[in-house]
Amino acid sequence: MERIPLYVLLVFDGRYLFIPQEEVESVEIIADVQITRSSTSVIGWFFGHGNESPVFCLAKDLSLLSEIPKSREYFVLLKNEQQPLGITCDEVENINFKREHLHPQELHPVMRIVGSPVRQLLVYQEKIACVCSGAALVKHLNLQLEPLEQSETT
Amino acid sequence: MIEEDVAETSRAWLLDFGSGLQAAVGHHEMLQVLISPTLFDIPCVSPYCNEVLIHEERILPVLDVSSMLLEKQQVTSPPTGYVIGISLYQDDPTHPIHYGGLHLATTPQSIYVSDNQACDILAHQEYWKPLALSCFSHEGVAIPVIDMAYLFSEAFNTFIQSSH
Repeated sequence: MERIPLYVLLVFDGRYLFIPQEEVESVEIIADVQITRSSTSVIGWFFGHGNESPVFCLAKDLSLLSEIPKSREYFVLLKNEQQPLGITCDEVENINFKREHLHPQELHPVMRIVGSPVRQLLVYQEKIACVCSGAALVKHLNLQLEPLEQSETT
Repeated sequence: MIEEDVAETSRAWLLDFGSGLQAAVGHHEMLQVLISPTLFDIPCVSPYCNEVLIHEERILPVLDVSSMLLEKQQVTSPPTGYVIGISLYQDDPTHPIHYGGLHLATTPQSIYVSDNQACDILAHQEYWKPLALSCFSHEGVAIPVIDMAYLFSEAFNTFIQSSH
């Protein structure tokens, strides 16, 4: 049976990011985040679905922000083996690639680097959107967190 | 009757990548030149190819060759007046044609090159060696003829990333 290409679109800082819907636990509102101040770039915690989930803010270049921009109204909870993990966004939408006639292109070989969460690109609303796997995005976040956690312990 | 040696002449495009980097490609390998097209930055990709453009419904990578070969920090494209060349290449004659964008310092120059202009790549131009198919002297400068398919290949990208 043909797989339905369902994706969740996250928009933040003008960045358009698609994540497969099957890798998303839920979409929540930012008011449900318990905001904390931490040097590890966790901007807050979400206590729901029987878990304590850290919530992160990404900048346009997918680096971690330590403060929440005012425009962030939602967060997407990504599935993760240890605990779900939240990423804030300004807008969020469910998109069926087939219905919207969206055709992602593989990232060109000359653009690829090891560990990049970006797998494909597509034209969406006259902009370029990135298609990421949820697992690769979690890995990308963890890679950025490691040096921060190390500097905190020293 | 004495047979004269007639040097074969070919047409080529002379490309200026900025930072003193010049190279040539076959005349059939450049499709178009765009002045200040809309470029989109892409996160978490190679630093020398972190922009794309939309060209005839395709998303094309835009490569900064001087940043790639000289490990220079890529300079953000100015708002107007920048030049992007659209090149075409084939990995193999039986494979489909691919397209790629190149940041250029000026519009490409159409030149004629003859066999008797052949020369060696200069020692200080070592970075061209993996890409160069041949080299010729033009106005006192050694200009490599580069393999466009290899420039845009995964193999060359891997080689560059391991050597940086």
